[in-house]
Amino acid sequence: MGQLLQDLRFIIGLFFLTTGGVLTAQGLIDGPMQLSVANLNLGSGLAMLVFAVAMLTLSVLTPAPATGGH
Amino acid sequence: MQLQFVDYALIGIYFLFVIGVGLVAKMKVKTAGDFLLSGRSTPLWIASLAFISANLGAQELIGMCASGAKYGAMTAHFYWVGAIPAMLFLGLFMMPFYYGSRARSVPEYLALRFDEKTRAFNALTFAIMTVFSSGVSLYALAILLEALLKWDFNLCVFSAALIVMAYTYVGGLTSAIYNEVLQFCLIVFGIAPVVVAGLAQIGGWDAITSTLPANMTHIWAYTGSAEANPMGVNAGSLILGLGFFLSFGYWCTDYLVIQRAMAARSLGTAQTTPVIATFPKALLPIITILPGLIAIVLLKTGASFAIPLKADGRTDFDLTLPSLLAHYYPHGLLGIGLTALLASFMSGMAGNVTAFNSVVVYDLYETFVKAKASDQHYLKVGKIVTILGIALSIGTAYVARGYNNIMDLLQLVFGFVNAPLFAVFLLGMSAKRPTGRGAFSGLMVGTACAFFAHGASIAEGKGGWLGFSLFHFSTAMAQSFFIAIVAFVVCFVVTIAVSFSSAARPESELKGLVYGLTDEVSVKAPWYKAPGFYAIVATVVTLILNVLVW
Repeated sequence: MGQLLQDLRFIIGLFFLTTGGVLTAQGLIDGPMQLSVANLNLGSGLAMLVFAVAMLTLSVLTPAPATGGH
Repeated sequence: MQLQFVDYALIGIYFLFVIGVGLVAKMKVKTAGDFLLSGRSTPLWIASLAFISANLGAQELIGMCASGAKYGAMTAHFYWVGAIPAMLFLGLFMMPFYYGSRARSVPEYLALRFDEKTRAFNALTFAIMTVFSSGVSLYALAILLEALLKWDFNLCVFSAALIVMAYTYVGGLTSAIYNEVLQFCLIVFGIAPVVVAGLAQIGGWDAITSTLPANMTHIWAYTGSAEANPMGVNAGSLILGLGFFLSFGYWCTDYLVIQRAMAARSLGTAQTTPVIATFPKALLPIITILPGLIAIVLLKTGASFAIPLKADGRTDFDLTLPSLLAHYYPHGLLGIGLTALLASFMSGMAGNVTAFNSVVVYDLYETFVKAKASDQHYLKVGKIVTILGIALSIGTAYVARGYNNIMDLLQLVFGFVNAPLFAVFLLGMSAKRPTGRGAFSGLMVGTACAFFAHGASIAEGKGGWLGFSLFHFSTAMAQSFFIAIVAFVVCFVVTIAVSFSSAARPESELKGLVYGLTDEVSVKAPWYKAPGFYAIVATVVTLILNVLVW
C-alpha cells in the first residue's frame, strides 16, 4: 500500500474517484437519470470515474519501481 | 456567481490532494539534488505532462480563450506554429547538450560553454522574470476570484501562496511536477465540458463557420496581408516572428519548461519528453481556444450569454472562460471548473518558484556566495529560497495591483529576453568560435535593442515611451513579433562580431558542449520508441490540423 501511495497514477486515480463520485452523486440528485449534456454533472462524473478506474488498475497491475518516481 | 456546499467541497478535496502529493514527494527528498532537480529520476509520461502543464498557467488558459474570442481560430498558431516546431527542435537537437553536459540548469550550461558573467546575466534576468511571473499569476488569480466570487483580495493572495508554499517547500521539484500532472488532468476534465455543452447548444463546428466571419475560422487563408485578418499579421511575420524568434526563444531557452525535461531519468527520456509533449500540446486548442469561438457565436446568436464589459465599455475578453463556466456549469461541476482555474494559477506559480529555486541556489548562491558547501547546506538554502520566492511573489502581486501598467510593460519586456538568448544558444551549440565576451555583449545589446524597439514603436496605444515612434503596428502582437526579430538579429550579429575580436577557447574545453566536438549520442531504442519517430508523427499530426482549418 505504501508503494502504491507513492505511485502518481494511484494518486490521480484516487483523486478522480473522489471527485467523480461526488459529481455523479450530485448529477443523480440533480435530475434526469439519462446521460446527456443536459446533465453535465452526471456525464462528467462518469467520465472521471472511468478515468479513475483506468489509472487505479494500471497502478495495481503494473507497479512502479521502488525508485524512479512513477 | 454563487457557490454551494458541493462546489466548496470539491475545491477542498483538491487542496487536500495537493498537500498530500507534497507529503508523498517529501519521502523522496534526501538531497539538494532531489529537492531542486527531482533527482533526475522522472519517468517519461510524468515529465512530458509536467512539461506542458508548467506552461499551462492561468494566463495561458484565460488568455488563449480571450484571444480565441478576439482573434478567432488564428490563435491556434500559438500552438501549431509557435510551440510544436520549437519543442521538437529542443528535444532532438538541444537536449543532448543540456542533459549531456550534466549542467543542472540552463544558466549553468552558459557557464560551461561561455563564462560566468554570461551565466550571471541569464540567471539574474531569469530569477527576476520568474518572480514577476509568479506574482502576476497570484495577482491575476486574486482579482479573478474577487470579481467572480467577491472573495477578499488579500485572503486569495495569501491562501493561494501558502498552499503553493506548503507543497513546494516539503516536496521541492518532485512535488511541483507531480502536482502539475494532476493539475493537467484536472484542467482537461474541468474545461472540456464547456466545449461539449457549447458545441451541443450552438450546433457544432458548422454553426461556428456559418456565424463568424471567414477570417475568424481559418488560420492561413487570410494571412496574405496583415489587414485581412483580425490578428493584424501576415504569414511571413507569423512564421518568422512567432514561429521562429519568439517560440524558439521561449521553448528552447526558458529554464522553467526545460527543467521538467532535465528532471528525466535518462538522456533518451529527456529528449523524448518535449517530443511526446507535442501531442497534448497540438490538441490543447480544443479546450483553450474553441471556447472563445463558442462564446462569440453565443453572443452573435442572441443566446442568454454575456461577457462583462471593462470600465471603458469594451468587452473584457479575459472573462470569457469564467463567463462560460458560469453559463453552463451546474453546481458541482462549477466547483471542478473553478478548481481547474485555481489549478492553472497554482501550477504556473509553482513552476516559477521551483525554477527560481534551482537558479538562485546553483547559479547565484553556489557560484557567487558559497561554493563547495555540504549537500545538506544547499538543501537548507533551497528551502529558504522557496519561502523567499513565495514572499517576493506576494510582494509582486501587490505591486501589480497598484501599478498595473508597469506590470504590462515588464511582462512585455521579459518576453523579449528570450529571443536574444536563443541567438546565443544557437551560436554556442552550433559553432566553436563564439566566445564568452561575444555572448555577453550580444545578450546585453540585443536585450537593450528590444527595449528601445518597444520604446520607438506603437501598437494599440502601447510602446512609444521614447517620445517618438518610428513604427506603427495595428496589433500589439505584430509589435511583439517585430521586437523579437530585432532582438534576435542584433544579438546574433553582435555576438559574432565581438567573438571574432576575442580569443576563442581551446577545442578541448568545448567537448560535449558544441556540435561537431561532441560524440553523437545514440539512444539505444527500437525505431518506434526513438524521439525522431515521434517527431515525424507529431509533424504529420500538426500539418493535418493546419490543413483542417486552413
